[in-house]
Amino acid sequence: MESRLNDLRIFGLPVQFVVVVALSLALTIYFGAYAADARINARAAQNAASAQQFEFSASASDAVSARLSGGIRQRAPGGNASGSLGGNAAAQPAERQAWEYLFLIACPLH
Amino acid sequence: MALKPASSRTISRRRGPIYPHYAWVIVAVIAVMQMVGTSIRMAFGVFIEPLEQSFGWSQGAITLAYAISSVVTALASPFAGWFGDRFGARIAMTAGTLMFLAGMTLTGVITTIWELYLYFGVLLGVAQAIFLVPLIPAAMHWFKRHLGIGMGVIMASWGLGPALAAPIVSLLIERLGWQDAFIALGVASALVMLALILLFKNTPDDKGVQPYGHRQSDPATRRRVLDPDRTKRFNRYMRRTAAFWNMSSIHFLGCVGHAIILVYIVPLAVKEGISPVHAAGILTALSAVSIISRVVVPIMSDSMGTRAVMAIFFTLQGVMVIMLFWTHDLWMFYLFAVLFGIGYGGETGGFPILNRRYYGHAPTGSPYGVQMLGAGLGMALGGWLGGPIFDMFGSYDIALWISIATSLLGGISILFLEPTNNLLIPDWESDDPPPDRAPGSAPAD
Repeated sequence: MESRLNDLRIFGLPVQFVVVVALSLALTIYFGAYAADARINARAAQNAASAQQFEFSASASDAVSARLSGGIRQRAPGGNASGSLGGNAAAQPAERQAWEYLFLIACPLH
Repeated sequence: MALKPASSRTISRRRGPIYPHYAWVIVAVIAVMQMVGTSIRMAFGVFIEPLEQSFGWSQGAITLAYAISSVVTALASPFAGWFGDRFGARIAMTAGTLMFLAGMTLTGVITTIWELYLYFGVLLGVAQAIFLVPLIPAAMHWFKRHLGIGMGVIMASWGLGPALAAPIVSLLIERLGWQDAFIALGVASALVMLALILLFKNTPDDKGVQPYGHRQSDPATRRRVLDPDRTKRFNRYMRRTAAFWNMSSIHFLGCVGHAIILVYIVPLAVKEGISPVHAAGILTALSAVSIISRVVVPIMSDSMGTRAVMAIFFTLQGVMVIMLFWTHDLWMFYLFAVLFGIGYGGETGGFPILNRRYYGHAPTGSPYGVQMLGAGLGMALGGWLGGPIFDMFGSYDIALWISIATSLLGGISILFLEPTNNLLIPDWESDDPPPDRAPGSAPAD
């Protein structure tokens, strides 16, 4: 039985070897893509949280300066204080590192 | 009374399996070389805190050096095997020692993280591949029979080294500081290794003796010269055998199986409420028990049937992990460590014996190097896999199932390897191209 199995080849390589390589690659890609996805989401959440904090402090200072100057401060179309970087950070997805990008490209499930 | 020329010395009567011979000096040299040269990576954990305090680097950035070193060792293994076949183990050992010395002393003077990656990760990674790979085929040249006993002693050093390294390194750091500890360890180890190289001979011919276990009735052993064409020719035929590829994937599966346990047993125990100190003790117990099967398995493989013995120990490694699903108390973790340690220690010892059975006295540095590449990648994958699995499911259960599955799959794959009673490529040195799986004679009993 073993000789018949050892004679089975895929691309010139024994079928046992090919199966192990394929399964290992599948596992690595799936869990690698999961890890990449989780890291990107965590960074995005962190960005959103810091943007919210920035927005909160910006609107607080807007209110204070409006009260002090009595003037009207123009607001950006997005609803944020004009020139607020926090609003842009919240709107943009977190940057991907090269390895994260590769895993996500390789994995059809992520 | 004039002594007979050394080369004509043969064993006049049948002896027991153990008797005085220069092969034991070679075994001792290799055991110490591997213990000294490869243990520093096992003790890397001791350096993390001093590096963190000195430079303020994160733990993740520091341990990346360990990961780089592991991957570089794995990737350099086939090259190290080829280098040993091409230039001889003695030159390989000298090159490895010089790289080790450079890697250690340069790591002692690093100021940036990239230097740590380059010196510890790359230089020491390649040096470790040289200590791990070409020395095993070199030891095989010295044994006509009873190879299992010699391999058992060498494999035991793989378990003993890490157990001794951590306390010695801790003591040195406490007394000298981490920089001087690296330099002192590098210089002292290199001096020991250079002295050992003086005692080392590539083959019994170089010492003028017959290999261990040679009998008067045996045909004269051919003088083995370092011939690049011979190595190239063997490698060409060897790559056509299914065993060459399958042994690599089997070693990979076995290493994924135990790497998951070695890396995650401590966090698993801590999660069950065991104190970190006691949890670390589980790992120590596991390593200590593994020394017994590291010694015993090559001897059993040599005398009782290599495939059956290896399959049993792979299965034992896998089946014992099931215990972890209902292990909650400290005593149960220690019981697991003892039972798993037996299987884990026996996982690796049969490979040199399999190489001998399949390829006889051919230059087996390259196939052994490829098997170590499989092992290294398996250790890396197994060590990493548990992290994302825990993040995903909040438990290690899936990782444990993967450990069980890979060990059992490895055990089953061993049973599908070619029988070991015939050489796979007996005529590879003859002029005519040999068939891939022609019947041949077993190398020795």
